[in-house]
Amino acid sequence: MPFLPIVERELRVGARRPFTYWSRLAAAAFALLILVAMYALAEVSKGAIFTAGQAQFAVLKWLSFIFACSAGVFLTADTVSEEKREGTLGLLFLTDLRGHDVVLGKLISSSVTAFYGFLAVFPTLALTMMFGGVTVGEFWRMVLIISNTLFVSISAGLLVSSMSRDAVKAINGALLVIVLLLGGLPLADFILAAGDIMKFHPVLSLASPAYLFWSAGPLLPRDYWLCVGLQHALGWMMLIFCSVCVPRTWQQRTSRTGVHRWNWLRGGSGASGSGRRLLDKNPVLWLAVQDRWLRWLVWVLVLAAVGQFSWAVIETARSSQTPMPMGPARVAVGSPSTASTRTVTTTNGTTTVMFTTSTSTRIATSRFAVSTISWLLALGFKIWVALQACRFFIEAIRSGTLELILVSPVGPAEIVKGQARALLRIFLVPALLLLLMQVTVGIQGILEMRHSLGGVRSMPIGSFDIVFMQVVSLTAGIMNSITVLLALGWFGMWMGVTTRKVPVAVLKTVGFVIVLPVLGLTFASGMFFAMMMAASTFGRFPFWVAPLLYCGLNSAKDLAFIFWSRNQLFTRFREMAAQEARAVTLSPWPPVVAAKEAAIAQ
Amino acid sequence: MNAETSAPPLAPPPAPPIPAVSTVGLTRTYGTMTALNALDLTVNRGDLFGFIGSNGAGKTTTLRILATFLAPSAGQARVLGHDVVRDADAVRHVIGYMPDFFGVYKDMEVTEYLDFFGACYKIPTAQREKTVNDVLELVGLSEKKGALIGALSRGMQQRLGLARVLIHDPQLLLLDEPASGLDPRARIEMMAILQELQRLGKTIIISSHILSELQTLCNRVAIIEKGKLIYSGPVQGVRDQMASGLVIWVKVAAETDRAIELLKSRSEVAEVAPVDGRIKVTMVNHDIDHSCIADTIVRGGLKLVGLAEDELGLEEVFLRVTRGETQ
Ligand SMILES: Nc1ncnc2c1ncn2[C@@H]1O[C@H](COP(=O)(O)OP(=O)(O)OP(=O)(O)O)[C@@H](O)[C@H]1O
Ligand SMILES: [Mg+2]
Repeated sequence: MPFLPIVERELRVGARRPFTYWSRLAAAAFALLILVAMYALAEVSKGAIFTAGQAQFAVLKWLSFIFACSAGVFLTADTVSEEKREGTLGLLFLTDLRGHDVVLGKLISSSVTAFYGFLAVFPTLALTMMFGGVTVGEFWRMVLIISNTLFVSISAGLLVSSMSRDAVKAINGALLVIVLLLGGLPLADFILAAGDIMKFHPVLSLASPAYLFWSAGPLLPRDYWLCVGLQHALGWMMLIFCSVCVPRTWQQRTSRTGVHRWNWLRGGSGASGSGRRLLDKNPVLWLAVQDRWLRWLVWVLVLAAVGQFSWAVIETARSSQTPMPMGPARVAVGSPSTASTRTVTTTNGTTTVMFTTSTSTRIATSRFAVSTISWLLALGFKIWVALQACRFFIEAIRSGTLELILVSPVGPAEIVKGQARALLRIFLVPALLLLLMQVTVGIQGILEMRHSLGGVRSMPIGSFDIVFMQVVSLTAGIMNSITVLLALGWFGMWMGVTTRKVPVAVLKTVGFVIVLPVLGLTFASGMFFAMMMAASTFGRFPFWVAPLLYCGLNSAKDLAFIFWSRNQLFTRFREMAAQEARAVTLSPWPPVVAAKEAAIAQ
Repeated sequence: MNAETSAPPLAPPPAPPIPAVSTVGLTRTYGTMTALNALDLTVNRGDLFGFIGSNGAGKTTTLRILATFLAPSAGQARVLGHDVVRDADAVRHVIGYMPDFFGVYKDMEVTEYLDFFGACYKIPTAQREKTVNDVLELVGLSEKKGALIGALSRGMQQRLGLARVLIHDPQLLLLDEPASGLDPRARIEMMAILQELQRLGKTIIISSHILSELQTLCNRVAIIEKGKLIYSGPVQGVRDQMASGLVIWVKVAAETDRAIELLKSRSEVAEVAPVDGRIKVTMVNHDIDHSCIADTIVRGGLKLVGLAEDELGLEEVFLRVTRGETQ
């Protein structure tokens, strides 16, 4: 088998990476933790919030699905492109290897990493059957869907990777393809149905893992298998296309004329006036804003979102006196599952329903689109901040430039400040625009609420000021949005210094700063509610305390990340940069692998 | 010397010159691996100093420590009087360091690149353009000003690296294998540039494992192996210290055995052995006058056909030294 050498090499490199080892362990521990936590939650609330089995299954399957989808972005999007940058891909093609050998090698090696993760999670998923409410058929259907999704996502990542050279472009490309696959296809069907959910007929959606995942339960066996088959075929098609692409795209592309074709996109030359000023202020700042590709992407998408948002506002205002969309912009910047959103939806759930019924389908659709797009944008924006924060250092260390800068009078403090200011330059204004959207919607919502309550400022249940609560949760949400971006930036920088691969650094940043804390806080607030319910202190408690507490904890977490990362960056920068400067692995992890490695090498 | 003796009697004696580099017990470990083991090295000002060692000997590690990029695990290093740990900032201003694997952003222009590092060394804007032009002139890259670095050949990139090192006019240059990957012509050009720089008063440390090029270029060398200093001193001294005595090859028309007997009786000769019909004569040391050999044979009534001094090159010395160390 001609691709075996590559698989072997990949597996060996993978085994040497601490990440491979840790991810497996972490996945199993994590799944088990969720299982236990949710069981505890169900017990404490005595089944009032949910019953154990089904809820555990739902949460675990969602998490697995999200992981499977993101595998393409974080595991494969930068594999082939990385080899292109390093120049090792060309070496492979100087041997007898063909395109499909390389692609299959990469596929197997990356899916093995991901698959180990799943193998670690599946037993836990199966455990949920013990708690009842989950059938064996349901379990296996879900296992198949998630594995298949993983395959499709990995293939899509590989395809994008084979067409790019730059890590940032590859990651964004994979993000785009996967978002299109998940949301784009059903959306197209929806548009084909003229925006009427009743006339929705899945055609393109059949190829979307998200559609299959969403409707796995009600789907007929025939349709289920059709979907699975189609998606599997799609995965293979992408792989074949990828094999065709790879041998054609590995050559160096530096223009021999020595002149930039995309000068305006790349950034100003050092000789120009503004470049000079930046250079004098902080050379690292100048270097870090050189590549403007991401900056343009952020601007284009943020402006598109603002445009769309304004359109939605105008449209709503024109078609009737119906109020503004409430949900979308609140999630636009803040994380989608903050307690403010959750608790607010529980309390103003009735009002929301009232709004939707009084509006036309078209507006409902546009509202849905706005909320989805702004949700995606909010997520994308966070990933971009993390990406830009870590990528500069990873590239500077890898190219040896950081070594050269560090032996000049420019010290770590100046380097870190330069990069921090570069991040500000790139993201400040777009972030302010997004915040503005959030504030606008929040204020509008509050005004609408006052209007619709018609002067009645306190609700009959309990005795609290709903408008006051809205103000509190809006303020807290805004504060969260700001701190989380700062935390992503600072922690991302530190990950950039300590991690060698861009996608891994982004994954760690987003995982530690957002995903894990959100899960933890959600669990904690669930517990809080459950205990309050159990103690029947429910009505007596001032309601605005909950979102405030949640957001306070969230921001405290962000501040902790910011201070810790800053401290690390300012004190240990030189040490880390010097260790990583050379692509020598100090000691393989775990030691068992090290011994095996040594044995193989001899 | 004369200046010293004719100096006015009341003037204080001149302070001993601060060496460009001096290390005491310099040690660096990576985990359990000792890359540098108690290195004591002194480089005088104005030296063109060759730093020789095989792969993995610890050359790069030493230069990185001197460049303040790595911290030593133990020991001290001073560069032009400044400690590399405590006085790192002062050191950075006076050194220019060129790594073996050297970092470029391939899609940056040559002048942008130099401009950037000029700014890193806080050269005022007004002065920077002129400096950039000057160093490019010096390394012969003036025509390539606007080119992308990725489009330069290996030799040109190397010269650009040298230009970068010179941008802040450092007194000490630390060059890690600056000639690797260069063709003979480019190598000679590089050497000429280095000699020119030495003439301008700079101290240069250049690491390499190619000895022949350092033999003619450097005035002093150090040899390290497995992190230990084996030799440090003038180039000519390497041979004397490292090689055993001078070897003379003698060929006589007949009666080889008698010739051997005769030669063995001389006190200057340490060892005599027949090799392939010739006689290998090893003298007791290296500086000895070997005319006595021809003399002995001719006086003994034998016919001397050939006599040659063994040209033991630095390469061979190097091989011997390193072999001896690894065994
Ligand atoms: N970052 C690192 N991590 C672990 N070991 C290292 C590291 N850097 C160097 N070493 C080890 O230190 C020793 C000395 O390395 P060094 O790079 O100084 O050698 P060198 O003389 O420059 O060799 P070469 O001629 O190949 O450039 C080597 O055995 C190397 O494996
Ligand atoms: Mg080296």
